[in-house]
Amino acid sequence: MTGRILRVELWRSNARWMALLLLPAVIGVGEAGRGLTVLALDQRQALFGAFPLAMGVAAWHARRDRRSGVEELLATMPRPRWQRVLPGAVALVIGAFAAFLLTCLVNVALVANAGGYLSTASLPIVAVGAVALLAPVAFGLAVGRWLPFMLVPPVLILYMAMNLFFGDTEAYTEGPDASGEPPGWLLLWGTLQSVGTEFDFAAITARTHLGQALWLVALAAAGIILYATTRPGGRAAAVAVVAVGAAVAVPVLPDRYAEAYALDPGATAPVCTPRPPRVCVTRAHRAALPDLSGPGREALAILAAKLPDPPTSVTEISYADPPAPRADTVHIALWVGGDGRLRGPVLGIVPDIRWELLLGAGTPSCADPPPGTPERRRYDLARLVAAAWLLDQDPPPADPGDPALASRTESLAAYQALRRLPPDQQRTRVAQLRRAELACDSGDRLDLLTGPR
Amino acid sequence: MVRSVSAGETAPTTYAWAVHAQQLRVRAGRRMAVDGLDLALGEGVHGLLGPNGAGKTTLMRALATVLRPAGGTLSVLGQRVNGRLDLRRLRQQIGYLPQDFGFYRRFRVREFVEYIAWLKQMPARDVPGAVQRAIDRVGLTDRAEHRMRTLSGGMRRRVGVAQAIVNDPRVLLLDEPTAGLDPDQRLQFRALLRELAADTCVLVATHLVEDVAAACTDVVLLDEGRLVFQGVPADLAAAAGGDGPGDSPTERGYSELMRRHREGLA
Repeated sequence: MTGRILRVELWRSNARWMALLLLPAVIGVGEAGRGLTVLALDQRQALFGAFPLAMGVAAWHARRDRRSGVEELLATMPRPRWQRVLPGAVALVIGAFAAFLLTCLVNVALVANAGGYLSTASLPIVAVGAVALLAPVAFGLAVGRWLPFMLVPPVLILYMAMNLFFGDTEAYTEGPDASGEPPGWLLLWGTLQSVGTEFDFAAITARTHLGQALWLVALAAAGIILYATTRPGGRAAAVAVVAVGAAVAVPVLPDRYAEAYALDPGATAPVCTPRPPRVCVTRAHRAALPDLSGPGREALAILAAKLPDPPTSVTEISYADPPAPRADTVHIALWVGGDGRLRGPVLGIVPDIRWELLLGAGTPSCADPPPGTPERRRYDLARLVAAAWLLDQDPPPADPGDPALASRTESLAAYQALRRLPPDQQRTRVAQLRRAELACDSGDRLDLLTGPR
Repeated sequence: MVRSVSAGETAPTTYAWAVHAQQLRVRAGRRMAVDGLDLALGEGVHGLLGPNGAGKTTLMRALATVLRPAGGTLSVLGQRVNGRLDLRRLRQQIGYLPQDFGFYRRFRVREFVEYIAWLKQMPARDVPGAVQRAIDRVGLTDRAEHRMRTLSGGMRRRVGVAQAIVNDPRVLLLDEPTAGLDPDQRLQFRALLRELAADTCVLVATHLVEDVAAACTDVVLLDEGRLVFQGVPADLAAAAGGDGPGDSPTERGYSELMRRHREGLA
């Protein structure tokens, strides 16, 4: 019988409105080619917008008894209140879950269509996201019950929206690699955010999932207690549940917001060309392999032709978590677009991917001098000149908006200074730069290339 | 159609009266709307009459367990009604149509009556049959699948009666059940009341004296929270003596009794 009542509530309550209103709010407008984790994180971020909506719709539902004038009649019913209100609450949750699940399925389809990585790391992100929807529904119901006024749901939506959009989001926009170091308890909001390329390889740590889930379940339980109870101790019980939830969840959560993120080994696993010379991308970016294999092999051929002891493969790495440099491998961090194809290098000084591969004669940057200093400028300039020499092209014009980079005249002058040296000298000096970079030696790299001997 | 009967129902009753009030006092807001009422009702249809503010609705609400008595004793189906006891069993055997009958506008008629049957904790297997019978009895068979909000005022009132009788209550409390009904429907409703009278204690609060004369086995006259008169409709008609205001013997009897009561108080 309760099942039958639930069905009635599903069709006659606001459950469908819940689904319809939440649908646009929970859609992560992400770049499918970057993988399911990125879309799942987008979705978690989008929950910011979904929370006030869910609260408002739930508050409106809770007003129904007052609005319909059935309170008098219901007061004479033998069935306890909590049993009476449960089907309606469950119907609302089903509505919210339906919207959430639908967007999840759309996300999977989009990622599969773009050839992106269908990460298993996204599963707990989605699961905790669903749990996160319980709390605003429950609290909306509680607010609607105790403040059953016409204006409460819209005011609630507005207030929560203002608060979320203009207040507490500040801490998030810093991102996981921020030096501002947002504290871990901010994760109690139940949202997660995804900006920047490094999220392509992200997983969320188990502690974060657990802490968030515990807290969100406690919140939802408190809301339901406030909504369903008729006992005088109900409010105290709700407060106690929230307090216990916080006391348990905060120690479980990581200390720093950034520690919520970890590297997903599944996403960074290499996917390589079947035949040598080997060019590899991460599994998360496997759709970009055709885009990298051409320029990658070209760069390897140039290095083999012009330098002794050349590398034999190109491998994509995570920019946020680079491995140690290797003599036999050229490492590169890639920027992949929504279609899964290569946009360019992550830290591209030059849009042409061959230039990026050949910077510092095929070595990862081992920059010691801090950005903006003259030392750093000379360091970057030396790496660019090495690539120009290998490609046998003038250095491209640098970004005029970035004063940290060498100007075109400066780089051209340095390149021509190298070119004026005897050919075997040029070769030796570029090879020396390569060795110094691989070993992360100190010393001025531009002197190494063009300085007097 | 035969309804299923639970063991509790066939057990011999352990009480003399379905409703028994002694020196009952019930507050409506700050006012003591029922103030020292003595009343005993058995099975049958009892018409509850009285001027505005006589305490009819407050008495109904107290019997429906919405309001708790402020003093005196009130027993319904042998169970004392006060703040401490678990009223669940009693509530399962009460049907109530409030004066302001509210409903969920989006529900269909059948869904709403079903919902009330569920809230009355009826056994699940009895619900579909009981709902259909209740809808049939109030003459809404062809409207069962209509949304509540599309019904006319009279139809809504009949849904109100249907939800009140869906659980075959032993005590049925109907506050102004004929408001908004057209003459035909009122005749139908009276027939329904007579049908229910056999095994139910029905209390009908109304302003319409003719309804009482036509359908009630017993009349209860209330004024200022106290019992003025209790007897069969014929006694009420006889009380008039032949003259006085009113268009029918019952109306004249009503006016005469109220006049005498007020003069006695003065």
